Amino acid sequence: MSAPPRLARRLLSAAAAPEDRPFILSDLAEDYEIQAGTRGRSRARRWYWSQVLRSLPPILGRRIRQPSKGPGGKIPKPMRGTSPMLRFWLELRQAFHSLRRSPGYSAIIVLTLALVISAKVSVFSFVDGVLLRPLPYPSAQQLIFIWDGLDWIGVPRAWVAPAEVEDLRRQTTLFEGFAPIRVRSVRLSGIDVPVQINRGTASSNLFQLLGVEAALGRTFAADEEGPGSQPLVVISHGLWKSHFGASGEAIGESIEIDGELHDVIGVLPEGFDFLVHSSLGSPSRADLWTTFRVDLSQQGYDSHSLALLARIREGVSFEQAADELAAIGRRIDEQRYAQSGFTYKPVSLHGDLVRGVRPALWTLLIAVGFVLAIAASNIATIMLARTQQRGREMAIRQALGASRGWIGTRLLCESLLLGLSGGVLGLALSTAGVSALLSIAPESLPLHDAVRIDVRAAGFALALSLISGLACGLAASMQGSREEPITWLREGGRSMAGSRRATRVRGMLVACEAALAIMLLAGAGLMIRSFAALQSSDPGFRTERALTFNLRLLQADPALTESLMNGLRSLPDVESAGITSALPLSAGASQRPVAPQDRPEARVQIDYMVASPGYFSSMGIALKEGRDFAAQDRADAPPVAIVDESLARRLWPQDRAVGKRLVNLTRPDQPITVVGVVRHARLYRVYQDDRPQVYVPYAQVPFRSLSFVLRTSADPGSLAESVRSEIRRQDPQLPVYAMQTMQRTVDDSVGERRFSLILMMGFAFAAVTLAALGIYGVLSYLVAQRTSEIGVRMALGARRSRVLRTVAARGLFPALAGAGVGLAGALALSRYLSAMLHGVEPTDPATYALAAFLMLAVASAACYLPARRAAAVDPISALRND
Amino acid sequence: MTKGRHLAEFELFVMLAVARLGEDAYGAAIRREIEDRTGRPVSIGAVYATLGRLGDKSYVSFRSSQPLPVQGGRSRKYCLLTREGEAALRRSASMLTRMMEGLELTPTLPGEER
Repeated sequence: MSAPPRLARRLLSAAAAPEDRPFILSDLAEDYEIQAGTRGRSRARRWYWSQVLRSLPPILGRRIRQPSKGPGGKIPKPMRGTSPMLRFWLELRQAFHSLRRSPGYSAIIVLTLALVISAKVSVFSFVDGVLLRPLPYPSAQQLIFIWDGLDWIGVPRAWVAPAEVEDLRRQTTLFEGFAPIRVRSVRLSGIDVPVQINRGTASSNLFQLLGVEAALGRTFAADEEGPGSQPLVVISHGLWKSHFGASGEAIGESIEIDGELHDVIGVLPEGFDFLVHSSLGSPSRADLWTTFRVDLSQQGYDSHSLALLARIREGVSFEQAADELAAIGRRIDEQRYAQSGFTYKPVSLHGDLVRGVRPALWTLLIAVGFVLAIAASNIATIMLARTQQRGREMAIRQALGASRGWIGTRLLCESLLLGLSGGVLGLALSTAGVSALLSIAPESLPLHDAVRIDVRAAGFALALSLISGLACGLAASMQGSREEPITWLREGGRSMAGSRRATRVRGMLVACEAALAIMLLAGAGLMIRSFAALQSSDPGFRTERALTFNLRLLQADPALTESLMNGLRSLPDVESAGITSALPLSAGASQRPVAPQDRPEARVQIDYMVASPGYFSSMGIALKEGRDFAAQDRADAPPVAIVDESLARRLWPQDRAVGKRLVNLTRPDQPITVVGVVRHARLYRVYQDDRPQVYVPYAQVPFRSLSFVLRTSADPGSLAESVRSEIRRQDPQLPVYAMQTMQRTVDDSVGERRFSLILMMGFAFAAVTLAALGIYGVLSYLVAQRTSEIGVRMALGARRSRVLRTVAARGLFPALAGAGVGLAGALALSRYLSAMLHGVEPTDPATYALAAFLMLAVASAACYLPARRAAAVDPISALRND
Repeated sequence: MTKGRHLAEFELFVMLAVARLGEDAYGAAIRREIEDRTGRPVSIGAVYATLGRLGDKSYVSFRSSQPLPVQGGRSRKYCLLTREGEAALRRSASMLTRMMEGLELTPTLPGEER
């Protein structure tokens, strides 16, 4: 025989009057057994619970009302002798009933709270998923990337050179291991349609350092690397699904990577998403992994080409590890770089990944917090007004013996209940909020896959709703518990609006709202100006009607390249075509030191790119001086180069650059003649100048990774298919990848900023609207409460204009004071915004003036409407109503 | 809440149930009786609270039973209408009858859907 639910039983037992307790429990147990016998145990339990919950109000109601059972015939304190837990529960229940009696009031508050809480929770889940949650590796905080700092040549963050890896392994004691990594685009063939994918090449210990095991098969063994080792490959879960149909027989199969057969030995787990950080561009992920089959220590110190992952030993702090690296760095600086200032720059895996978005996400979380605070102030004023209106009820309760504290508790319980309801609804809404945010979030936002509503978000929502519930109700509760009952009765709850304390509280709330709203306005204003500056900044190339894509040949093939280019040029709607090794904004160039032939000491680190004849005109990069590359720049002709204007200015400030000679310091025996000067086309960010640039002609420096640009006379997107079929016609095995319009590339590069801007504008709009509603509401209430007073004044000869002024001043004065405080606050906080701004000072006076003007305009409008209503009061009817 | 000597609806139900059950009127039985006859869910707490009120007005009297001498035996609080209770019930019933006189309402039987 099953027993009734214990908790319900205890609840009932605690609530029941002692004289009835055994009987009521026994009666209910009897019914429970009948229920369990006929309808099953779980339904019987539900039935028991509903009996208990529905029994509590009548039982406790009776215990409370039961007269003359208290000591000395006194009216008993409410619920004397019940446990505090139960009392609280009862208070909540009473609060619920009281709120149910005013559904409109409750609905407005719950909805407002739900909306702002869902916004806050949605943004929080972004902050949590991207910034707070550790990466999914064991002891992920011990994982770091190490960069070379070559600041003296303008490369503060360079890839590590291969030979350094062995040096570090030998010299360090605080690291568990190092894994050099290189990610390259490769052709995967031997399947139906060849595709271009990313291959990660790493040392065999990579997965061991990460703490990741294969989902199928195995990862690399320690000896499966270096010269003479077998070509083996570990594939990602995604590739396994798309190209092997998720079949267990994939292990042991061979796949062709850039023409070389590799044996598949393992499949990585689903969700393994290791991002290889880049020295300058955005991080990349690999679809498959192989090991280095060369001896890295023989590859020298000149080619900085490897990302270096390291795991710090357990128990060793980041700072200790950084100190050890710094000491090694100083030795290398002496031995190899003649004390030029070489350093190692360790960064945490997670911190490095999110460093670009951290300020934006925190700013947004704070901004949405402001909106929440404004909404909470509005709700507080509504609650305050309701408390005033319930003055009579409060007075009667007090007269009947309710303590003031108890009344305060009751009011607080009501607001807590409203807060919790808003929180629950808000949490439900925030799943939609997160999807909406994810849909406008830029692809480049790191870790956005980890963003979701989970237990942590739910906990946050709960905490938020409790806090906002308490905060909203605090003013009303203090007011309710402070007032002497006689005040309530005397003033009949009517002119309580004039009670000085309540007026002061309302004024302060209005001031707070204005302050917070103006801070958001100023922030949004700065970001709008910054974004406008971004949009209007000249990146050095033309974005409209340009289509770009990449091809990667298995080996350099000038004849095929030439024929591809001619084929593409002859397509309808193609005006011109060109090839480069690194498109603008691709961050794809390699760096070289160059110097004028006659002044080798004037060394400059440049971005080194290859270009075909016609590239500059197709990309819309203006030729400032000299000539474009041409057919005459053949492999056997003297080496030539085109430099950008920033290098020309830097090396030959007083002189023409055309005709001068440069040397590439890695191959100093071959002087290069400058034949032209072009505009600087930004290679990294659309809003930021970068290193000087040197282009060399394709025919003289053949290469395999071709980036095409087509200038079209029609919509570039519409050409995609004809381009693909032309390339298929010439080489069916050649995959086209990364095809997109230049406009899209530019849009993507400001995607994170656009995301922050949209949200910030939304928050600022919500803040100003809410603040206006708040001011409007407070003044309307005031006017409604004081209609008769205004009537008297007007009957005594007050002019309408004066009434209008007096009333409007009641709202405008606190709004003005708040705006002043808000402006000061915005100025103080502005420096935290500076990381997100471009082309505008964080203290830009025009923006602040505009924000202040806007805020005051909105506040004035919000004040004017109720003030006009006050001035329109007809003294006769106002007095008659009294 | 009672209005002086008059019975509220639920009080009336409880007293009618007590009258029907006679010797066997105790909390659970009263609850079931009302629920079965009216089809409206009744909580045990409401029954006890009402019984308490009726007791205050001396309309019902109580006697408690010792647990039955079997396993899981119950202790029960039996109740009985007092003389005043019977009078009050009669008064309420006749008031109701007078109010109903001449009214044509389609009668519904227990268990019949309206």
